[in-house]
This record gives sequence, C-alpha cells and structure tokens, in this order.
Amino acid sequence: MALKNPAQAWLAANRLMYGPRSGDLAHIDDIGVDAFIEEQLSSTRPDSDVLRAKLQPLTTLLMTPMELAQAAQEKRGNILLELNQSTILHSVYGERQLQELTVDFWTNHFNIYFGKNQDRFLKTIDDREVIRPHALGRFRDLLDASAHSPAMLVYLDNVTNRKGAPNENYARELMELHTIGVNGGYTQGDVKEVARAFTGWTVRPDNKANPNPDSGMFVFNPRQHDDDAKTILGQTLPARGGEHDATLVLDMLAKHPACATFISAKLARRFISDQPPSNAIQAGAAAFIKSDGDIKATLGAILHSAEFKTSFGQKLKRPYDLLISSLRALDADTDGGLPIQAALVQMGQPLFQWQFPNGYPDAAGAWSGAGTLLARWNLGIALGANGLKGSHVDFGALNPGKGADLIETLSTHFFGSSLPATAREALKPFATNSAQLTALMLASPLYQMRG
Amino acid sequence: MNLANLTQYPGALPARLPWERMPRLAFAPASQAPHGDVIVCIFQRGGKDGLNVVIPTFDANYHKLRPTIAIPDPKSGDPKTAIDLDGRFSLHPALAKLKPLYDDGALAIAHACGSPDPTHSHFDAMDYMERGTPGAHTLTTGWLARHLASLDNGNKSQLRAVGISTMLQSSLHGEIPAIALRSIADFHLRAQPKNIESLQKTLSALYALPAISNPGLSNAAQEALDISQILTKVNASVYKPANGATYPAGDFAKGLQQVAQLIKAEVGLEVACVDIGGWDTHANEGTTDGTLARLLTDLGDSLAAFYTDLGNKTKNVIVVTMSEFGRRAHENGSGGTDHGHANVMFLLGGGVSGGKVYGDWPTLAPDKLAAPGDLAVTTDYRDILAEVVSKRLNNPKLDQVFPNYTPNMRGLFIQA
Repeated sequence: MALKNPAQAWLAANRLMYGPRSGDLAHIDDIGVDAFIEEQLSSTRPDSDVLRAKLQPLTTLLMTPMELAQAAQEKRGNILLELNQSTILHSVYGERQLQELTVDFWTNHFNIYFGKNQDRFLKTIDDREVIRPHALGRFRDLLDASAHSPAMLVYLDNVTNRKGAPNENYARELMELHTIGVNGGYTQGDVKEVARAFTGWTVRPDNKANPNPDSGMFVFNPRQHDDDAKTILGQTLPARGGEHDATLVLDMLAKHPACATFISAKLARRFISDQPPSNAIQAGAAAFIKSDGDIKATLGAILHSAEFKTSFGQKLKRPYDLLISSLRALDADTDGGLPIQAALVQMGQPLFQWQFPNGYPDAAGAWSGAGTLLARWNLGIALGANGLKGSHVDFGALNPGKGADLIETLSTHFFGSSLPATAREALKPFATNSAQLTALMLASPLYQMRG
Repeated sequence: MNLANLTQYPGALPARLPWERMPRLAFAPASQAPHGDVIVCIFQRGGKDGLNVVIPTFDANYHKLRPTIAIPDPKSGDPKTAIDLDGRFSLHPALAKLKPLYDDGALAIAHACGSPDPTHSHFDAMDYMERGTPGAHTLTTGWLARHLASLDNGNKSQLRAVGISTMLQSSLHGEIPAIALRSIADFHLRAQPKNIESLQKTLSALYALPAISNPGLSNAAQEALDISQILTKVNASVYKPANGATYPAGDFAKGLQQVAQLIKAEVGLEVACVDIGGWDTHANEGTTDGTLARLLTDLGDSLAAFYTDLGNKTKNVIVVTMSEFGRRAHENGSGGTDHGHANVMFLLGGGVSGGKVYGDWPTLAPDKLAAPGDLAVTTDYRDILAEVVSKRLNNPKLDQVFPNYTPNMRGLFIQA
C-alpha cells in the first residue's frame, strides 16, 4: 500500500532508527512523525527473542572487572570482539532504536579508546553500566556514572591523579568535551583546580594476597586527596570537602548554562544537521535547563522542532550507520562477527578504536572522501554477493518473482518510494540481477544519506 | 587485538583475490613531475614531549623538573643514556637510528618551536597548527592545501596531495583535490573482474545525478573511480623496499612505505601527510624504556627505513615532523607530563642544512617558563614551514600560505 507521506517516514526511520526494517515505514506513516518521536522516546519494548538468543553466548558482556581482567590475561574469550558484536546486534535487532542511537551518541561523547591500558577489558563495564542505562536518562546521572567509571578513570589518567602532583587530563576533557565546551568560559587555572578536586578518585587495585571483590571498581582514596580549599569557575570549595569536592564540580558543570547549550547543539548536530539550526539548539537547551538535564526532554524538544522535519539530505550516514541500515534493510541474519567488523575498519570507523577523547567526527566532510566511498561501495558489493561470513541475506525473499519490475520493487524496499526516472535508467543494465541491483542501491548516493 | 590491523581477522576478506593481480606499469609523465621537493608532513598527535625527545642536557633545571622521568645524560657506550648531539642537546636513545642521518647533515632539529597561541586544548591546537592560523578559526583551509592552490606548476595529477588515513588531515582541506588513502592495496572495487567496468559506469552515472546526489559526493565518486585505476597499476602487492631497507611493523611504517611507493611510482605526488598517535603521555611516560621510548622507536626506525628505501630520491624529499604542543616542563604525580607549549621539530631530507640543533634556547629557569610552567616558544613554527615552502617547494607566495604573517627565515634549508 502506498504511504501517505513517504518522505517524512523515510526521514524519521533514518534519524530515529538505524533505517527501516520491513513494516517500519508503514508504521511511522500510519501514526505520524510526532507520535513516532514520542513512541521512540518512551519505548519500553523488551528485547526480541532473536536478539536475546544472539547475545546469550557472549559471556564476557556480563563479567565483573576481575573476571574480565582474568579473561584478558589468559586470553580467554574475546572481549573486544564480543563488545563489538553486542553493539552491532543491539543496533540491528534492538526494538528501542532511538535508545540505540543515543547509546552511539554518548559512546562517542564519552569516548574511551579500547587500546589504552586496562580499557582493553574495562570498556565492557562502561558500556554496560554507564552508557546503556543512562543514554536516555538524566545527564547528571550519566556524567556521574562516567566520572566514576573505571574505564574513564584509566582512559583519562585520573587513576593516578594525586595530591601535590595533580594530573590534568580528565579535568580538562571533563570541561572541554563532556560538559561546557572549549568556549565555556574556563581557564587554565580552572583546569588545575578541577584536577585538584578529583585527586584520589581512582580504581581499587587488585591485591593478590588479599583479594577483594571490589577490585577494579571505583574507590575514593582520601590519602591521595588534596583537601585544601579550591576556587573553580569563581566559586570557592571550602577545605576538607573530601570526595564531595568532585561531586560539587560535577553539579556545577551539569548546571552551567554552557553545558545545556553544548549538549543540545551536539544532539542537534547528530539528529538534524551538520549545521544545527539555532532554533532547535535553543529549544533543546531550554528543555535541558527546565528538566534539570533530562536527556529525553532535551532530545524531544530538538526532534519536535520545525527544522527537524525539513532536514532532508542534511546528514550523511557514518560508516556504522551505513552498515547497520544495510543489514536492517536486507533483513540479514548476522552474528555481528569479524567480517562485518572488518568492513568497519575498511570504512574508517572501527568501534571503540578512536584514540582521542572527542569521539568520531559527526560531519559529512570526515566521511565522504573517495577512499571511504570506495569502501562503502565494497560493502554493498559484498552484502549483495552474500560475501561476508556470519551475515546472510535471503535474496529469494527480496525477489518479486517472474515478470515483476525488479528495479521498482527493490527501490521501494530500500528507499520507501520509487527512484527518479534518471536513476532507474542508470540501473537498467542490472534489471534482472538482484545481487548487483542490491549492491548498487546500497552503494548509491541516496543510500549514503541519513534521510 | 588491534582492530585497525586487518591481518588479525581470521575469516575476513582475503588480502587479495586471484583476479586482483595486475601488471606493474611504469609512470613518468613529465607534466606530472613536481617542481620542488615532495613534502612528507608527519603529525605526532597528542602533544609530543619534546623535552624528552631532544633533551636539553646542559640546562641545569632539566633534571630538577623531572626527577623520575629525565633521560640520563649521555655516557658513551651506555645505550640507556641519551645520545649526545652537540654537547648541549642530546637525543633520546630510542631514536638511535636517526643519529647517522644527523651526522650526515640530512637531519636538522629545531627546538623551542611552536604556536604563538597559548591554548592547551588538543583540538584547538591541532586546528590552529594545521590551518596555519594560530588563534583564528576563520580560515577553514589548511596550510598545505593553500600551498598547492597557490603553486601553479601544471601538475594535474589527482594524487598531488595524499593523506595516509581514512580521514583527510585538516592541513589538506582546501580548494585542491586531496585524497585520504588508507591502503593502496585496498583502493579498488572488489567485484568480479567481468563486472567491474559496468559497476564503475553505473556508479559514476548514479553519483552524477543531482536528484539523488550532491556535488561533494559526485566529485568524491569520480575521484574514487579515477584513483582506483591509477593505484591498481601501482600494484601494492609486489612492492619491495630498496637498499635493504626494513620497515618495522605497524601502521606508521606501513604509511611511510606507501608514501615511498607513491614517490617511486611517479604519480604526481607533491604532498603527503602521515599521522602517528599516542603522544598524550599524561601518565607512565617512562624514560629510556616505556611508553615514550616505544613511540620513538617506531618513529625513528620507520623514518630511517623510509630514508634508506628512497635512496637517491631523498635529494628531493623533505620530511617535517609536527605536534600540536609540547608538554609541561615539570613531571606530574603520574610519572607523566601534562599539556605544555613549545616543542621540537625534525627536518629530514637532501635539502636540509642538518647536523645541527637550531633555535634560541629560552631555558627551563622558573622565570623563563611560559604559564603554567611550559617551555616558551622562541621560534614560530611557521618560520620553519615558510622556509620549507619557499626554499624547498619553490613557492614564493608565502602570504597566501601563511596570511598575515611575516616569517623569519632561520637558515635550515638549502635553496633548491
């Protein structure tokens, strides 16, 4: 049945989901975009049996820090492989799609490079206990969880931030990247003072002689805390604040007006446009302040803005978006395994492998070079030929049968509507070859756009 | 496991499919030969600790500021000490392979270099440095792109500027076509040979359709198709380094080897950017062993292999190393160093007046440090780059490469 407003449904399915699976476009078209936004923001739909069955063998996902440390040491299981699989499987099969997109957003916002020291196993905990539970919750809770996250404490060196000789790494990025932004009004002096406030925030070491089940988890070490008074962003923290010093800093930063604008602008960039419209940023920032940093309220204000509905063609899929949307559109049966992950390497976006604390760039320019484009095409060709081990597409199900117009059928399947006549003409030499038509549609410029 | 290394993927795509072997072709179209040197710009991302790379052994404050991470003073025959350069400065021993190049005069060192902008943010500092416009975000083009755009040498090659990366470096953003290239061997359509031509034709047609594309994507698609044809002929799989050069394992060396390959294939390359990360040593930096030593071994061994591999061609190659800032003069409580200011640059090539450490030494005396305790900048990094542009790249239009700046040439290079 033809959709009432295929363009709007297509946009929503690509911005609030990793692209449509069969039935999604009809559903969005049926209830309308605004209702769909609300549905996604408040969705409590349980994981499907398929997803649960696919996640079940990934044993490292549920391990404690010490179990993970041991697995890493004995090279048992494959922690990075399974964390990648978990992420890909959640993205492809997850029922709460907007939640999955915000997981991706915060994973990059609070980026942690898997290759840094113990983060080769601690990132699994960060994903499970910091990013996923709070992705659509309160920003202050998310920030708190991140500040206490062993993986973050290791990544930005706060594990060794101690009295008398502070380490500025976390303090600086906390302000520059996590909360108020580089123009948020802090000085080098503030960086030093915030570093002092976080002295003693560390990870409980493993003591072989006297094993403790809390090893590998956050611990405040009062002996390493600088307990003198501090002045941060013009505000004085009195002496003897202890562990509470840093909590006050997190409060201060999360409530700072620059934080509301910084977070809102970044969400608007992710969900609307590389040049986020100021109306949407202001609406998001106002909602952030009014709701005391509720991420749902903030994102809702941005998505309900007039600019969202007219933002066609303003977001390019990052390679990860392209991979997941392709698998969803093809209704592929995937294990999220190595060949799929290798495609992400080729396209330049391997998960948890960005070294710098700012996360993968969210701008078309970073992802539209000739080399990336070629790797994108090769993904389409490989999927069209069922050439990636661990991911299978049933092309029989896509084929309409003898006599039908294959180009028309597949373009409706992949784009929700017919392609322009010029594009259909260009595809004509492949009119009877569903593998190559699929490859070309996934490789086409239109499919590189996030709606 | 490092996911960036595809060879660790059992079951992933094979490195080469049987039909992907192509005959090697010779390239030497005269019109595509660069007029000046090929510049290889190496960016050490994260903020390299220049004070432990080229050590001011003669500065009495050095050991005081770094009680646990100082590199021991040179002691002849002891490989766990710094290598003396000129009686004043010494080299981290992990860079031992660069010492012969210094002695031969191919390597010059410029110390206490940096940007006049005091930012300690990685991202602002990198931006300023790669755009060549400290303190200003107004110009969105990079210094290397402006160099190429202002140099009318008739080189029409699409491989004039290459960034070894999946993402193009900011210094190459601009009006000239520049290409981000991760791997020469992978840069082609992986389809059955009988289908390649029709796929190329159709992709080219689809990306040119305004109804479903845009000019940026359309250009990139055409570039991808054209360059994949050239690179297929360069033929990555049979590359053998010359002169007994042995590149170490790792992405950086692999990147340099690919630059060497492009230089030798004479495909019109004028500018190459290669990144090497991991320099943000806030903790456990180490001394003659440890994090920094490992990074420097990779850097030094790779550069030495590159130089050996290129042989005579180094006459017309200039390698420049940069980093967004140096690190704090005093160590922190983590056995590392926080973000600082001035740094050291390496200049390597046939046209370098090497064998010398250049730069006015501001000293590490407490009253000479720049806030909040950093080595002060006495040479603007643009002075070094401008001299490269003018003397080695034969481009007199310095006002376009570094607008609103009058460089002070320091005499590091021989006029080409």
